[in-house]
Amino acid sequence: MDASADLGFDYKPDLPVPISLVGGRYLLFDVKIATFLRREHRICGTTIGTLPLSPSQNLFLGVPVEIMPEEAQLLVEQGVALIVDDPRAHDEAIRSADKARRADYLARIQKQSTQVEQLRVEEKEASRKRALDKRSTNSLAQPSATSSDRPANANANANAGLFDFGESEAPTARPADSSAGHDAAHPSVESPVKVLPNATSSSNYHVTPATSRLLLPTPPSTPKLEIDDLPSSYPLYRHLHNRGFFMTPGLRFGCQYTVYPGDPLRFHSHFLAVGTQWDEEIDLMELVGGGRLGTGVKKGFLLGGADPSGEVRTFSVEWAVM
Amino acid sequence: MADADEDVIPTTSPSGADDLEDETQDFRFLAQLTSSATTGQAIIPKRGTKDFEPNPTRSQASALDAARLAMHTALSAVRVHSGRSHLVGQYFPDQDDWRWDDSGAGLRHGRCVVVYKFKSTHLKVMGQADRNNWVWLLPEEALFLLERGSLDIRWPDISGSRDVTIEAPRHEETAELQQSVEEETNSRSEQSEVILASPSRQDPQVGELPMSLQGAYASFIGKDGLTLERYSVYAGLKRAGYIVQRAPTWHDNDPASVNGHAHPQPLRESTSNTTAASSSALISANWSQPGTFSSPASLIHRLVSWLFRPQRAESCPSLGPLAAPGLYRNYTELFRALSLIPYHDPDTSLSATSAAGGVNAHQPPPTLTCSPQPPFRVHFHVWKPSGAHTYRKTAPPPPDYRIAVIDARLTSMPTLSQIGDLLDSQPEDSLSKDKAGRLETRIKHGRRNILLAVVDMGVVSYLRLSDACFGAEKLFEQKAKAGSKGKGRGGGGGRGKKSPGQRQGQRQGQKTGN
Repeated sequence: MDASADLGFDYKPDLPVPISLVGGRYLLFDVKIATFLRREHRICGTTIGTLPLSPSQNLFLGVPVEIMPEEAQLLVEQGVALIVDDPRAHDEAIRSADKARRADYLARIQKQSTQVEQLRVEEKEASRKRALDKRSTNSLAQPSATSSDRPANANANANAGLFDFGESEAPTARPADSSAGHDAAHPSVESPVKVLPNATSSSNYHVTPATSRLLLPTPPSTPKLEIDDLPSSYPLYRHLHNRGFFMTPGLRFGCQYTVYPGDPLRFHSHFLAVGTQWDEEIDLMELVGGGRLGTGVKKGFLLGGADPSGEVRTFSVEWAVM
Repeated sequence: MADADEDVIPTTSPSGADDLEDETQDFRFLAQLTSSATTGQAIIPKRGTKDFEPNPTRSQASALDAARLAMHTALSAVRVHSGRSHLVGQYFPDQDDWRWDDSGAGLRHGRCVVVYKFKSTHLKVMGQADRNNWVWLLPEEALFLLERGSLDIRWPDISGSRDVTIEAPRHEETAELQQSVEEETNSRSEQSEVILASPSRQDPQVGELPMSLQGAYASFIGKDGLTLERYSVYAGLKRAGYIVQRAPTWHDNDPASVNGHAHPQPLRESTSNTTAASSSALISANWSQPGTFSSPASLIHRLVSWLFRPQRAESCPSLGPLAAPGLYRNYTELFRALSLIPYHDPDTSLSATSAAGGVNAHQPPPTLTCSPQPPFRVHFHVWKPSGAHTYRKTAPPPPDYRIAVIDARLTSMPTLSQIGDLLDSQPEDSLSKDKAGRLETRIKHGRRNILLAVVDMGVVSYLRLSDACFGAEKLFEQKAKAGSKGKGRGGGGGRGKKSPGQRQGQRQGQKTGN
């Protein structure tokens, strides 16, 4: 797909990527980084933010993406990510008198808003054109076949318009009729325009950016390697993750992790995983309950933990009929 | 995830919406949702389009790519404020600048964002206006509005000599009185030129730097007791249309029985009553052993029962027949005579406590023993969306739900005494017979109830705890009233009476916990 390239869908960020530490939780704000981690590192996380497209529903949520401490630890260990103390970074950035950063940040916002404005103008133009077309077709009193075809088309276009501007520098991938958007904004991600914004912005459109990327100082090169609140089930998590599984928090299925064979977007989960310690006594009722629950939802109940040598062993329980 | 999970666990809500929220949704359906807004017909996504496991076919790969692309595009949509609906707020990082109320420092409550001109439907349920009609927002309100694209928040301008964070509120205070001083403080800034032009009516300038979503999370989470868990719950409920306000026990060190400004007046009495009954859980625990004659509650019980059937001797199960010899004219009396097992009754234990307090006056007040300890405290009061048109911020009606937010990773299931403390601190909220005719509904609703919102890394599950009183609903009396005297089945009455469980927790979120 052509659009995927434009949107930063295949974006490969410079490693390590920042993970925001906010209130003791690990968040991803850049959708490109979230997509990258999902694609390359099987880190899904949970979307917890409101989608501006459709803010009054809980079915589809947006950035930020909250990831588990296990996931953060894994990424840090692999050198893919580093933890940024977001409140402090922002505090410093706001209090510092670094004019260039502010200018970059403002310039990017400015550019986004002009992009949006352009898009809106184009949309208006397009809809006007459609209306005119429609009127002309109506006046010609053509057979109903074409006129019923048209609204569907228009609808699809409107949708594409809603989705198709990326969060930042990505140009708008409008369907073919609007070629203007393509050459209008095509600067690369890495070179922010060093233009001081004019103080009186004439634009009617104001943008709230998702990330404060350009505003924040570059994080320190020697990050800490340990996550503070790492649960004892981390070895099990890492073990399963290394086997190619995707994992999401699983409390509502009565377990620690729900384990997916592929991306949860497209696949059902196979296991309900619970981590245990090697010498921990396990209540038989827990085994029975977990096994029954897992079988009831067509998943296996998976127990696992690291033995004293550090090797992880896993056992799955299924409730069989005798 | 599961396509057959409901086969096993009965769901309390038959609607499919909750089930859909449990799964990771294919974002391609979002296009249908958003397009439905324009076409006017709602399209509910269907489930069951997922595959069992990955295979190397190209169709699967392309489907996955399409799903990921849809998610990516949906997530990368920009928050745009245009023209007339553009709301700008000013963020103050410093506590000293938060002043939504003239009465002083005691009532700041973390309102750290001010919107000078707040024209929005959200005003009805959010924010607090000061005398300049500037609306001050709590961190969660500001973050929610910014996140849904309804509010543009600015960071304070900082450059060298002047400091807008201080300047703007100072202007507020002194606007009418000390304009000359004002002129001096602001004379260096260009923006204040505008203010000086019309000093009394002009709102202060907002900062130049728009706050990003990332910045908003960094700034607001952790401010004034707002954890990410609490915000997740808040935002989830707000998105669903509920009216959500902070409860008076929002901060961990807030006293439980003190009513804040957000608390309705009529509740005041009932809350203090119920907190007075703090030790009721303990007392009823003692009381559940038969034969504790010292308990005044059982004395009262005996007195009452004696008043009602004075013609017969007390039955003495250890020595003689369960039903004392005598004249029984109907089954109801017989059943009453057979009701030996004490049960938990919130009303009786309440009067028992007050009686006990009367006897030992030098005992410490029971409120000390029972105010719920963190983390099991009420954090939010929630009203149903249906009451939105009658809701008033200044005098809210009694809340429909009370929610305690729990972090699943740090907290385990509450103990009975924790649940008891939590429930005892709640005002009574029982269904009357007119409202709910069915007995099961009333018992399930309970005398008091509370919702626990359990947050596991961003995934919220709700758990309803209610103080159910099985013993108070006497089945044999109902039968008698219905006119089927003597025909009532003894088994039903006995079962209703014998359930000694004081508290009954039931999950409303349909998936079972551990």
